[in-house]
Amino acid sequence: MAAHSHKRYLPWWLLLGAALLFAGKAQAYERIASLNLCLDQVLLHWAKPADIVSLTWLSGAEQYRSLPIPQHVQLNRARAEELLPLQPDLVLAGQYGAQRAAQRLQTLGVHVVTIPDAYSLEQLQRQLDALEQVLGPLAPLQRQKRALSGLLEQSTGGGRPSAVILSANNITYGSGMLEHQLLQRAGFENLVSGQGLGRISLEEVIALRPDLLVFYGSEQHFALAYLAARHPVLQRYIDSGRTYTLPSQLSLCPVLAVVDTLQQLMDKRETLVKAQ
Amino acid sequence: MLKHNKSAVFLLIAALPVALIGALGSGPVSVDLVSALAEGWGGQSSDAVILWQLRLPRALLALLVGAALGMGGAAMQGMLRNPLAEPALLGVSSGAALVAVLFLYYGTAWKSGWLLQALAIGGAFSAAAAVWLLAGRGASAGRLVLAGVAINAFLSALIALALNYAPSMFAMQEVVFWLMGSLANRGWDQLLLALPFLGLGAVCLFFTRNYLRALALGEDSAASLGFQSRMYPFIILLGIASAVGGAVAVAGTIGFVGLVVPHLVRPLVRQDPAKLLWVSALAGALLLLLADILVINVVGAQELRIGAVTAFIGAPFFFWLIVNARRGQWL
Amino acid sequence: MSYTAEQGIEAACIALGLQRGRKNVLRSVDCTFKPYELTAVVGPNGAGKSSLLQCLSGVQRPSAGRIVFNGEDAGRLAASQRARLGAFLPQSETPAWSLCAADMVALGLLPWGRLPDREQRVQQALLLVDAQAFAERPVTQLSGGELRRVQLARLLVGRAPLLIADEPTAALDIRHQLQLMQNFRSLADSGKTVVLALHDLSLAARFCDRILLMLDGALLAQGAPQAVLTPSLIGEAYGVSCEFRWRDGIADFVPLDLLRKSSG
Repeated sequence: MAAHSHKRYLPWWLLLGAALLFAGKAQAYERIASLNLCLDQVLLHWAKPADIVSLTWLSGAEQYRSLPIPQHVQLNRARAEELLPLQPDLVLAGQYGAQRAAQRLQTLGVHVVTIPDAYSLEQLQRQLDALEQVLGPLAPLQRQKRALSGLLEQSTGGGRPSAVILSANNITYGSGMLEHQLLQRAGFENLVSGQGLGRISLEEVIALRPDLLVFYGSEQHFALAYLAARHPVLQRYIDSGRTYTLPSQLSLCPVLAVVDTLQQLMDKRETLVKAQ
Repeated sequence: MLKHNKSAVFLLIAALPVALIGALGSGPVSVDLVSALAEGWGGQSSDAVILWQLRLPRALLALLVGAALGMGGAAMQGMLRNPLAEPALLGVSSGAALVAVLFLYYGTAWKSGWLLQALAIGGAFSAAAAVWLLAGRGASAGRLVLAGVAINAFLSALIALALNYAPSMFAMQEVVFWLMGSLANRGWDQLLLALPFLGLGAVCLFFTRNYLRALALGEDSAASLGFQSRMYPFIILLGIASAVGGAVAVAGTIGFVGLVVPHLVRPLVRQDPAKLLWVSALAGALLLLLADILVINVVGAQELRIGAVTAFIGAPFFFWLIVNARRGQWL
Repeated sequence: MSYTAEQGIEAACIALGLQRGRKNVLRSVDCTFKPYELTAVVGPNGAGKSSLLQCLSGVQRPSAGRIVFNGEDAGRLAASQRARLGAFLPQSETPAWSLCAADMVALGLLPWGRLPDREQRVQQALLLVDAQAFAERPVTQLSGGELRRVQLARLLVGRAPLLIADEPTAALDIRHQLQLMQNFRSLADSGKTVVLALHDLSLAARFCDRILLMLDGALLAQGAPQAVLTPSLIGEAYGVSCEFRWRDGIADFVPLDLLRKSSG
């Protein structure tokens, strides 16, 4: 059985080999596939739709869909067998997940590039560089890069209002996390100074008395996880406009959301400082 | 003997405010209780807000849910003449939880709390009615319990299934909230939703208290004492469904309280199935509040589900029941 | 109702029928129970004695015919009112909880609500069945006979003019059987209407005014003991040959041998 399929794929191998030779020179890929939800989104937002051949099925799922998927794009479940017949000239993989498929494709001679994940601003910048290197100087990508470094160079004015992140299931974000860095860069002081992810009870939120209460992600569907954020004790924050909601895109694919989020947080700080 | 019993009930009542103070003093943040209390309802300091908006409603909700479960358990045991009966056993709790889960995760019922409560109570009642039908008219307690266990297992599986396919990505991990119960992050809104239904349940059970007394002698004797109407079991089921269903919709299914509490307090009321209702409500409230204090102080924000704690208390009690039964006492 | 509960009651069954599943457990039974009368319902197992008593007490709704109390259809009475008129002790009455004996007896007063002389009535009833010694004992710890006596006290504690008991003497020792029958006799003599299902034909013959002999859901005979308890009727009902020796109004019933059952 295995030998049989090898024989069947032989012509494809030759073809792929040839494609690879060309790819080295041409740089601009025309048949790009992705094995990673975030990279799906990156391609959808930044690459030419005609250059995309396949994205993961998650991008088609209702809760993750941010842009319509072009008709010709095939959805994959991160299996090498699905991608091979599509003859991709570039397969983008994330650092984690779909590793088996990525390796298999690589041994079969497909050009696979692993894009590092990003959990901090520094990693985000490296990710942008890596994306630019492989995808070429796409205009929206470069715009995003410029906008990000522009925002990071901006110095925030005086006054550092305090903030606390209250995410689903009472999760909060401490130092080392991208969300924490964004707050800092926007001129806020994150009152949760612990390392990484932590839990925060409503009592602690109230006792910390942050100037800004930051929720995370919009609740499209009910879950008990959101009970804390819907607790009436937080109503005063909502009524006085001292809340901000981080987009859920920030956790799925920060590279796309980071600029908008940082800009909105800066604006929010501005209004808070003015109001004080 | 009688005096001794009365003072035990009095002790239960006296323990409530003590436990309440204990609950108000428990939490991840240390709060100056006296000054927070002095500030009153509208206090703006974080201590006052924590006390009045977070700790008090949660503690009162624990009391209310515990009372509903204790009372429901006492009524269920009285109605089935079976010391192993429990609202969870007849599928009342899981019926309410299933409906709550369906409407919360698939619908928009959570935007209107009253609707959710009413639906959950409907679920509780239909589950109990399904057991009733499955067991057949005038079924023996044994057959009814068997039917209850079957329906309950089926409903619990449906809850897990419903959450498995729910669109929210948190749904799957929340199976445990619904099957084990939780009081975390609940506020006045949930308390006010559950309260009227506990009241309605108590009124239903108050009207049927003498039927429960007569039923201690068996169905024929109860009928000869003037309680032959089919309305009585119906009203009892409605009362149980209302109190327990209302509690489950806001706190999930919390097991063992309805089983353990009536057993513990039955000697205090000289085995009277009617007085048992009220003393069980009292003791159930106290037990659940104590369990919640344990949850807050020992486990903290990383919430152990309160149902796990009550199971810790309940399981050894079950062992004791079995040992007692083997000695041929009353099973 | 035009009479008070303390007054006598005449209960009549008119063409009473009862179906359980496809079986006719009662077939067109006509009989009357009067004040000052102690009636025994006798018959072999499955003859319909319990069903008759259950219909009479209102525990069972008859599928045909009706029960009449002092000329009024008992089926139209409110359940609570009917309970105040007739008290019933089923064949078996196992308490679900280990109530103490006195509390169990007090349950017999439920149809009357809170009576002021509740405590005295309970003590009196316990005295009547010789059970005051274990008034405070949990009923689950009593022997079968002791429990039966407590149940009888539960029956007698109320003020119902009609007393119905299904095999009250079962499980009792001879002393308490005798005491119990004497109690029922004097209750009948005081104006109550008493109906008992009995297996002991000697006791029935000795204490009762009337005997109802049942077979296969129908009345085989009714009347005074001497008229009903004859070897031929007993033979037809039970399938045994027997002998009654009457001495000073006391019957000595001696079953002799099995008769070959005539088929049909």
